Amino acid sequence: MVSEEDFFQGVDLIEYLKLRGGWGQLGNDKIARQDGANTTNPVYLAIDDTQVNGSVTTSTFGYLGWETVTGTNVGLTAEMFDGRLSIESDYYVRDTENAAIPVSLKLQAGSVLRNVGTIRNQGLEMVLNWKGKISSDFSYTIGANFSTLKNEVLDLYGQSYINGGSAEFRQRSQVGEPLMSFYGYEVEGIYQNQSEIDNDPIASANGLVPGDFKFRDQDSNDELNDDDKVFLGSYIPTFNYGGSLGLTYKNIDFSMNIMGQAGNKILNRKRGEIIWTNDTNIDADLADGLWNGEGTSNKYPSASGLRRGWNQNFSDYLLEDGAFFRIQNVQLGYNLKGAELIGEGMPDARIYFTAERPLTLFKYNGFNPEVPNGIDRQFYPVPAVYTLGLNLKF
Amino acid sequence: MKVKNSFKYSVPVIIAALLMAMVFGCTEKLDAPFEDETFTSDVDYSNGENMVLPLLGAYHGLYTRGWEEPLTLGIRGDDVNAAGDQVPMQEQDEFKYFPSQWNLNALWQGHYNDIVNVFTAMDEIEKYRPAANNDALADQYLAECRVIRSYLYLNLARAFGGCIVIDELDNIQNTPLSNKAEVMQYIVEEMDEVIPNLPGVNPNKRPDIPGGITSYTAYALQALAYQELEDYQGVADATSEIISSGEYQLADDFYHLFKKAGKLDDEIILEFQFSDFDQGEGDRFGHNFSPFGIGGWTPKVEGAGAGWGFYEPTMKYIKFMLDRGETVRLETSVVFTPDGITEVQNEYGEIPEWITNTNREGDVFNNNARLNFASGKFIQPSTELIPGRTGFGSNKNLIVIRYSEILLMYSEALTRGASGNSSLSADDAVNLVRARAGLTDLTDVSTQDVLDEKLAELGTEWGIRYYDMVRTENTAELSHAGKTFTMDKAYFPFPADQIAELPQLEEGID
Repeated sequence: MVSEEDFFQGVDLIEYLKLRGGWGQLGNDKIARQDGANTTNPVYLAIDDTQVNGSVTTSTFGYLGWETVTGTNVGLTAEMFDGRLSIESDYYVRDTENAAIPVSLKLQAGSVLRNVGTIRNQGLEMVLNWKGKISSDFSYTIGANFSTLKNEVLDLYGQSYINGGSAEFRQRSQVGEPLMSFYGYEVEGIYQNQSEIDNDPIASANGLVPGDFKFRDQDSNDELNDDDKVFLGSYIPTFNYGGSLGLTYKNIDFSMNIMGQAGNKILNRKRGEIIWTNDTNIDADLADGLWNGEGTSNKYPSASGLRRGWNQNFSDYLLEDGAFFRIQNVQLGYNLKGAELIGEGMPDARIYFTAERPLTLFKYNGFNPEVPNGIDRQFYPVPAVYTLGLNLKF
Repeated sequence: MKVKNSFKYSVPVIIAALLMAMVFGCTEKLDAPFEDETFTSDVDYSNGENMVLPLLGAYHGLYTRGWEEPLTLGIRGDDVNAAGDQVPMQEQDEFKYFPSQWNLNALWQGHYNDIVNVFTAMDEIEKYRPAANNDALADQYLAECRVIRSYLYLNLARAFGGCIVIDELDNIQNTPLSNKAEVMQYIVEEMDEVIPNLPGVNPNKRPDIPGGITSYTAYALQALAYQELEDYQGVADATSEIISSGEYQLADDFYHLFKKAGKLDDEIILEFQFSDFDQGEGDRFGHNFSPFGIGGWTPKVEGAGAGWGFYEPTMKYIKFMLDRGETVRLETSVVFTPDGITEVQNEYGEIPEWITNTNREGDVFNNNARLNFASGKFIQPSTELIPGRTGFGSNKNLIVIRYSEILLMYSEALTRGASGNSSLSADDAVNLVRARAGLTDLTDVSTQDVLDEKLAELGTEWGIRYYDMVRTENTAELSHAGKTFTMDKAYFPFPADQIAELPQLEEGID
């Protein structure tokens, strides 16, 4: 408790300051006990038009033990300016050992969770609150919080990387990179004309046409292959923030909460599904932005290009910035004290108007930037809810 | 106050005690399995009769093919066009291959899923062996599993030019890639080992699993492997076993062989069985035949589901058949739309009157943006749907290997100088197939005659034509309708995703 130390007594602005440090270890049993473990499942089939039973035994082992999380944090709690400002701040490092990571099966489809790595999450969390009073009738509170998160694979128990995700939309965990990062080609641009194609050995070798993607040849060997795939970002946000504002003026009160995140990528699989069927709708940005002649786009391929295998290689074309800002809710209320206003026996009343999620700002070309694990396979937009209410207290 | 005080003092003590307990007690807990964990499965291996369950599980794996698999294997020949909106299939039809094409990976993984499935099924069969107390039966089941596995490897090696032949499931990472010849040799040897353990009957005579694997399924796979190796004496020997067994007969009615009446026909060596179990709703076990079907049809039975139109017999095939004066085989293999009929008339000239856009059963095939012709061998007439079922091809079987293919393989081998071990000459074998198709006998058949006969007889089935042309390096035939085939396009590239997982695939095949 710094604020009670002798040397601190002369500091007037800060009434309260505490430094904290902690270390702990806990087991995370919030994971499945096993994943794809050796199980025998009944199946039925048709033999000579008769239903007969069989059994299929899986061969994928995923006996899962607990993950062990070792956390270290240092932080401070402080109050300043007559208690008007309070600060809580922590820097944390959490290492998850025996982390259950999805491992792709060899030769087969699918993946299985195994305790195969150590993952580190570290970051800074900070909460600030300011309470103020302008007059006896008018007070306000402002709150802000943010946290940073750096997710990193520290160890994969000897393996250089582990593939996850699906074959067509590859995700890879590799030491030094965030868990399950998207992994594929980097789009350099769009081939604009035939001479560009003719002068590019990769384009000519693959029979490309103007309007096709130009993927970055990372090792500049004039061949596009697996060695040119790179990490394209992670679905894990690196920055989360939130804020609140409260105002009270006489009988009127107002509050608002905001939140947001940044630093994450969303896999727009709605665009990606075109590899299986051409019949999917495409979003407006893509439809309007398609390449349709020299100079029209250096970002999106031509309409026919969308439907060619070359352009369906997994690349950062399908990855979009997942940052968003949202007004989570806004409430305006008016309190009526019935007894004072009208007379004894009258109820107290509160009239209020609430807007839940009235506004979400994002650049992502989907309906909703909040998608689980960063993969958007069609999520409905989040509805805004507006409520007008009256509370009576008898 | 007293209560509060004692609380005040006891809290730190309790916390300290808990912490100590954590240090000493918890570390062990973190390593232990979950409390009610049972890591071994609860399967009761004491009931020997259940030994058939894992075997049937292996059949289940074999029968449940993704819709894209027969298409991917079938579209590259000059007998079939990829139609519809499947980009990778259209590209592959034009011999444009990319490791990223999704259907290649699906084909690969679909086959390996079932290969791995066979390994575990064999383990399970061994666990039942003591209780079953019937070594011959256990050995037979294992042999059936190995035939299933070999069939899957055969497809993979013919499609990709090689594959990984799994030795141990947990050693896949270190198992080297086998080229096509090595895989074929493996299949030949596997079949040699399993044939003595299999029943020597037509599959439809098996009382326990009608339509299951028999020794002749194994001989057929062996013959196909020998054929890929261009070991024609091997082909002649293996096919002779099938022919001289007398277990197989060509179906009299070619048209209905591919319909409901053809289920478990004497001609069939291997078929994937499906059924609605003769009920209008409830359980069914089916294959998705939709890609073979056509979008705009007017089915005789109202409400019968339409297809997707992904698989189209080529104009080249149709002209070839018309040139030969084919009737029932053309009728069975090709479904015509009005636009298709016009196209043939424009490109070929006069065509026989029997060609219409209505099948025998009364289904009308209308003009369609995706294709002008559809593949009749895979189209079930709406009248064969069990009332209540509307899914396209529901209740239809998928034929894989037919006796006619064996006869023609035998014949070709003989024209190449191999000696047969049956009473049939090369001419006899071809003429059996021709007679069933209503054609006159040939004499002194040449290899080319047989290959032509194979195209007429087996067109649109499983890429058989494509493999024949690759084997004979006939790039000219495969280069049709503006497509150019060269021998370096004989095999699909390994799927990108597999290369990323398994470094041994990176080098490609030698």
